Amino acid sequence: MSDPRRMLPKLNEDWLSVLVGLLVVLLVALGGLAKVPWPLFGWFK
Amino acid sequence: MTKSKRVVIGLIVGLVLVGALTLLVAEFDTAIAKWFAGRGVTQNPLEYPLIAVALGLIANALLRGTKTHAFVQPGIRTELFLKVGLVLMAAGLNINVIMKQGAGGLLQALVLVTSVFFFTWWLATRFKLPPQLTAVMACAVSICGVSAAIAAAGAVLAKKKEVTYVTALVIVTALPLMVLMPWIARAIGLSETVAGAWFGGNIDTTAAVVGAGTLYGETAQQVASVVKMSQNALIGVAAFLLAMYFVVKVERKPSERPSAIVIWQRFPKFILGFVLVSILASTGVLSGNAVTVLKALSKWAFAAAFLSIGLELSVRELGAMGWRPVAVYLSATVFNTALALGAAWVIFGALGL
Repeated sequence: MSDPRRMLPKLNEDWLSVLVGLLVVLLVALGGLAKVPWPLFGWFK
Repeated sequence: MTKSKRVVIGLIVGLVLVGALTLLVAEFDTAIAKWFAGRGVTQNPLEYPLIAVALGLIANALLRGTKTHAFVQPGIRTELFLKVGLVLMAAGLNINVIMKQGAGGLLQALVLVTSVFFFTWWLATRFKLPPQLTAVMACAVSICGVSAAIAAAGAVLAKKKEVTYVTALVIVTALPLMVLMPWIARAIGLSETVAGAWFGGNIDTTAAVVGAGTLYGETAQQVASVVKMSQNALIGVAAFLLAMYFVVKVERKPSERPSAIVIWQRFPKFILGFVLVSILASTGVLSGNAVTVLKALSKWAFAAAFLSIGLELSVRELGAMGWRPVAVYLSATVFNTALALGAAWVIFGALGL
């Protein structure tokens, strides 16, 4: 590969997704996000 | 404007664009479902993954037509949206179910990955493809598309154009499979579990696997995701073995053997988040209302990921290497499809794992 370092951001998304996911879980568990009205939760519920 | 500043602005604009289009997907989905329900069709045939991909493809054409695609590209993060969606989806899954399905998925993955990898390798050698392109393609088609292609490329030092080429092939092949496989599964009467295992074992990109599962039903979506993640977990092992093979056999530099740390470096870490959230839900740390909200949020993340598949698609790279790699890739996909159907039927159907 010409420059393997250019591939790194894709790999780091793994950790980023864990962080974002756990942060959302924490906010929901604390009750913060569950109180937000439409359009966040109206669709798909 | 400096390049880094442009990337940051492009990231923000791209994320806002994806968010706005996802809202549009939600509105279309609600309106279409209502339209069908008004005509007595309770099961909406145009589920949101199809709407999202179609809208993504239209927006893609518009962005490329106005030469603004490259600017918003940093905000089109298919993998990120998908992995966040999978981590959140775990709130609705019991850890014991994940372990059971994961064990079946791992068994299926071992059968499929080894068979499809060596079949692709053999076929590519017959078609006289370069060894690096062969390795990248064999990993992509046998394990999990883009991530495996990147991991393999790093292991065998493939050229960037080879990775870009295989990535384009993966996405172009995955999109029709995402639509066709649920249709075929329904036609031959597969259960949701077997169908999910089939999608997870065959379709190369995880986003399209989740999309196909969603089109078939909630259980199919869960099984497809867990089976695919079991397969994804093998990336590190494959990258390590490939690096070892290329150093010792192809480049003949046995003194530069790679370290086993590659297995951990290439391990898809979002699986850890997925398992952790499932444990939190299974042990009652997350309440029933929180689980409902998290499941709804995971669907939002999936919708953004499906939309991004359409937004990202580019077929320009496919003309670069002629017909032989395309023939190898498509033949390997057909082989994978047939074998995955048999393996899913035996492991998740007959053996009941």
